[in-house]
Amino acid sequence: MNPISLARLSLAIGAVMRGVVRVYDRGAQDAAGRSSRCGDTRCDGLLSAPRRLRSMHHLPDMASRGIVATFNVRTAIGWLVPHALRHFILMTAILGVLSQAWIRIGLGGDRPLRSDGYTYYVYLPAWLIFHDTTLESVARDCCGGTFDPSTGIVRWPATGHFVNVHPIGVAVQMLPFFIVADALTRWSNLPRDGFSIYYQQAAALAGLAYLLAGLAILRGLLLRRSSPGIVLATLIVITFGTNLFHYGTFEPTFSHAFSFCLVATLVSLTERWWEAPRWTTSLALGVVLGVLILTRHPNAIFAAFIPLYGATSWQTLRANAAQLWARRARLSAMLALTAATVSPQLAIYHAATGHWIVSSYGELGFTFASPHLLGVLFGVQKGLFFWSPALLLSVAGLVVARGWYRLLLLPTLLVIGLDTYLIASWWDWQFGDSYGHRAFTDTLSLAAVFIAAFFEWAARRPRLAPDVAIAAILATALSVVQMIQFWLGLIPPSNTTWDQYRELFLRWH
Amino acid sequence: MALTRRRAVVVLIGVMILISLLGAALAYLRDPPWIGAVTSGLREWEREPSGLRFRWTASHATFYMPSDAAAMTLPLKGIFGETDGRPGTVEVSVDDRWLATFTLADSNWIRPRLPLARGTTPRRYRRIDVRVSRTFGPRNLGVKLGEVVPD
Repeated sequence: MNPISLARLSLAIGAVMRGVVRVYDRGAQDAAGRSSRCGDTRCDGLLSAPRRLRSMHHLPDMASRGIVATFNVRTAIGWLVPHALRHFILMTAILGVLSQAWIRIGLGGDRPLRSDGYTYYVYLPAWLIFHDTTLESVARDCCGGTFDPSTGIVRWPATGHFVNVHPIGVAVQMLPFFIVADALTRWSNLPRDGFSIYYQQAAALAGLAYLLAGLAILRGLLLRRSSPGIVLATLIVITFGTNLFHYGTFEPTFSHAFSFCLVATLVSLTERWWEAPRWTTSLALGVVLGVLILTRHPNAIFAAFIPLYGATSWQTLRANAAQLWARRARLSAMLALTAATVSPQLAIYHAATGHWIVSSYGELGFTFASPHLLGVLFGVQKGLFFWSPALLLSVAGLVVARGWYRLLLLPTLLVIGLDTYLIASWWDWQFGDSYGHRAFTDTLSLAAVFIAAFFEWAARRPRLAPDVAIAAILATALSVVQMIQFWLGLIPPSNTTWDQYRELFLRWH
Repeated sequence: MALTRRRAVVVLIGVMILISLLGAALAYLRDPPWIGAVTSGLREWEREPSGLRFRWTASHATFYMPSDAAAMTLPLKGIFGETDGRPGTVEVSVDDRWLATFTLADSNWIRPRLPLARGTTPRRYRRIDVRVSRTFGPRNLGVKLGEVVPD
């Protein structure tokens, strides 16, 4: 099936679904007409469904209740949503572990510690097994004293010491998992080289764990503002309608799942800090911001989120500035802790190169005068919206955001705008081999907030809601299919052409 | 109150089951039977023109020997002489204890018979580590390791 046929099919399914929803709407209106007989039970919405389920207790037996529940879709959904939301993280965890097992065993996938994952992780065996911060010992043990140049760990010309293109943040976050793996490796008498089986599995599980933690934080953040149905739909779309799940399972040792979790934490803590600037919240924000910068240096732009939170006009911006001045002691402590968290990385750079701040990529860098904006957003090769069309819902959310969501609008626009420009200006704007555009995965928690904002807006418009639901379901399903195609090696890891895409569309071989 | 007590009992049973499973898993992983097949730092099997099977090591290679073996014959061949002319060394250790060091100056096979202290480990297998002083080429080749024979 080609993309145009799929679009036609989507319209047809949409028309049918709209018809079905109208029938149910009529049923709901009939029920609303009988609402005076409902007593304390509201009969007119999804949120009242559990009560309606309880109200069925007068029915003579379970079979009757089951029949009623089967034929009342709204009741069933009303019962299902809170349960599914409560167990969403657990279900995603089970799916994640099974996916990792399938990728490694069923598909014979590469070891988790490879490519960028290797360079993010390599600090841990160097520090904790070889007690060496220069990476020389790991190079001697694994590779005869030098790393393969493709790893991105090269000798700095002036000093001859190793410089790693990737900073230490992911390794720091993997530390608890590494400690367990190291203890188990000693216990089983496996090679204590930092790359044997338990280290590999622990690193893979670390990426999945941070993805799940990020989702849990996002769920808590959204539940303070939205209904369970909207939060559940948002979590499903952001997890499976984008490349987020892929970076928690197929390439879990890359930085993206870690950054996703940290950005979700930063947004949640920022909200709390503006509500009540406790010292603990201030210090936690300082650490999270520091680790975020340690994970990927361009993540420093997320710091703009803190002062701009809640700014919707010049007046509120001035009010924010006044508040920040009033909270200057806590703000200073926050920034001092951020600097302290980042300082080990600077010390590593200084020891290796003699400079505190270096471009670890050497001569490779940004081409700010010629950013590939269309390519990174819409291109067939890696376009964000081409490979994750569900994210168009978040763009719509930016337009229609109201209430609390509007408080996040300005910082989100600024951060995502800046991030997009940086990504589009990077010398390798496709970011190498990946499913979808992986550089945007870090910001998906912000996208999730505005997907929720759009769902909130659509939920208030019953005629539009079915169309939005269908669009979200189709976009999510397409993303899942394409993710599995990537896992099976059907979709090229980079430089995909339109002809290749059409040829491979919804094909399994 | 009854519900709370029931929940506490359920949680307690759950914790006990979890601890039991964890204990069983740890007991199994102390001496897993599959570890004998684990190797690292070794490339695929190849064959010399003479028909001898060997695997290239990297800087650090690991394999396992049955713990009831009294000794092992370790066929080794370096290519140090063919590459930079300087001799290279190969260090062998058993369960992290040094066992022997060999200097390989030419490209001939050596077949040292190394004693393995029998009965000093409760495990089924001993871990043998081979560390090479230098490697060569983009494939990071250390020395050729033939089929290790336990005695």
